[in-house]
Amino acid sequence: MTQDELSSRIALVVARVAKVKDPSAIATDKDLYREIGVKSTAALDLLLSLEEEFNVTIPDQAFGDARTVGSLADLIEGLR
Amino acid sequence: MAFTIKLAKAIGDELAAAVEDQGPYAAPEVVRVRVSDDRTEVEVDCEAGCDEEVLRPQVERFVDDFVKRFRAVAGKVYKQLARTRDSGQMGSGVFEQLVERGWAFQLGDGQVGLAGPAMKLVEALDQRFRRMAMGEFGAVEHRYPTFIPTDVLRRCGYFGAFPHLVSLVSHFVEDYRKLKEIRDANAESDRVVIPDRDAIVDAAACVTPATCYHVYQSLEGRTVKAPGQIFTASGRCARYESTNMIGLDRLWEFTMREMVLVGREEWVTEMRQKGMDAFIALVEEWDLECTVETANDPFFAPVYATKTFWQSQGGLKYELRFAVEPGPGGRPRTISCGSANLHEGFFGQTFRLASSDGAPVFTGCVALGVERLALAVFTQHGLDPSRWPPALAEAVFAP
Repeated sequence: MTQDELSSRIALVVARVAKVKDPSAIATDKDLYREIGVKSTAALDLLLSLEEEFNVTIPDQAFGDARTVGSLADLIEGLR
Repeated sequence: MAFTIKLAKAIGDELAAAVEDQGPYAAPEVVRVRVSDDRTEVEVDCEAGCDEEVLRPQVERFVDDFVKRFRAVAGKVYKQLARTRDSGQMGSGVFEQLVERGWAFQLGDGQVGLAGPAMKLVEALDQRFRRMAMGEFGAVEHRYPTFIPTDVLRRCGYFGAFPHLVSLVSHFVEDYRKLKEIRDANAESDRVVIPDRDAIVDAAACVTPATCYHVYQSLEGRTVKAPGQIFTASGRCARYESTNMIGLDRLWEFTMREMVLVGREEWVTEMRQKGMDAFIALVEEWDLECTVETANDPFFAPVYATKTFWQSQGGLKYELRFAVEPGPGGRPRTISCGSANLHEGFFGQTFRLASSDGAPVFTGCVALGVERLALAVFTQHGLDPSRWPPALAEAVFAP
């Protein structure tokens, strides 16, 4: 899977959690919580959804540091 | 009657404590919930004559809601304080001794009256915190009602996060016929009788569960001067804690003094830190054993996992936990007597607060649970002033 494909799949998950209608509108370098609209109280939903989607275990601290689709893609790529 | 629920896997201490704490809310017939020592089973004690077939699924669902999505986040200890001037033993049976001396009165479930040195200590602690907030931080003092409109509490998210703790304030309907029925039914009765439950109107108010909610409501739609403003208030609060209400440890109704921070995000974060450090300096002044560590609020089961993860990961809540007398089996025990909190932009958005420089408004607070801290002082320094810090002894025991 290319980095772009990975980012697209992450954007789909983010769009569901943030209730964004158009996943393609989610820029990979925008802050998920401040700019995309993921509520901070939905962080666990996002984390568990990403773990299920990509069948990985994401360390909490690394997840907390990854605040964009792009950085989540780097993180997940490194765990696969 | 008792039964056991097996967990899919062992749970950690924090989650076990939360399940035990909220166990009495699982069903009216549940008396106590205990997680086994190996953390793989939940033992449920119920009232005699319960139907296990009916009760078990209800308790299983309660436990499942707690456990299924929970993800523990490693806690962080910010500071550990030891007593430096008083090496005396921790007291035991402290509340009972206060009652025996006539310094405390158990008046109802979670309702305790105070007199003498216990009353003076509560006042001294509150006033010292107030002096810190106003003197060191320039906080503006407000005074608020004990009640808060139910809808304001709803807007604060309280019914979603803590429905089990809500204390509603109601009254009888303005209906002469129904009022007379109540009057007649109670005229000769030795207990309260309400012949028609419809005579109780929906609660338009609650007893506030925290002092700071009033601050946000009082600022609704207003502009806060950048970088931020600080308020302080002390008030009576209520949190219903079911069968957990014991002595001064867990009161239904209690006093909370808060310093409330409203302003730009980075300023609120900085002030929360400074406020927590100033609170810690007071703890040192009072010579108390205390641990300051990350913590979570007692969120209701269905939202426990998501909310605690959010709070823990963001370091949004620190508690000041004080050593008190050991629990069953001599286990060391601490109680939370204070906290330092960040709420991100939630209250700023909910109450349409604006900053004079156009930045989003964030909020935070530093809170003191006054009666609990008084219990910690009596436990750690005894009921005799000889071991107390002189200034506190003077304020509490001087004739």
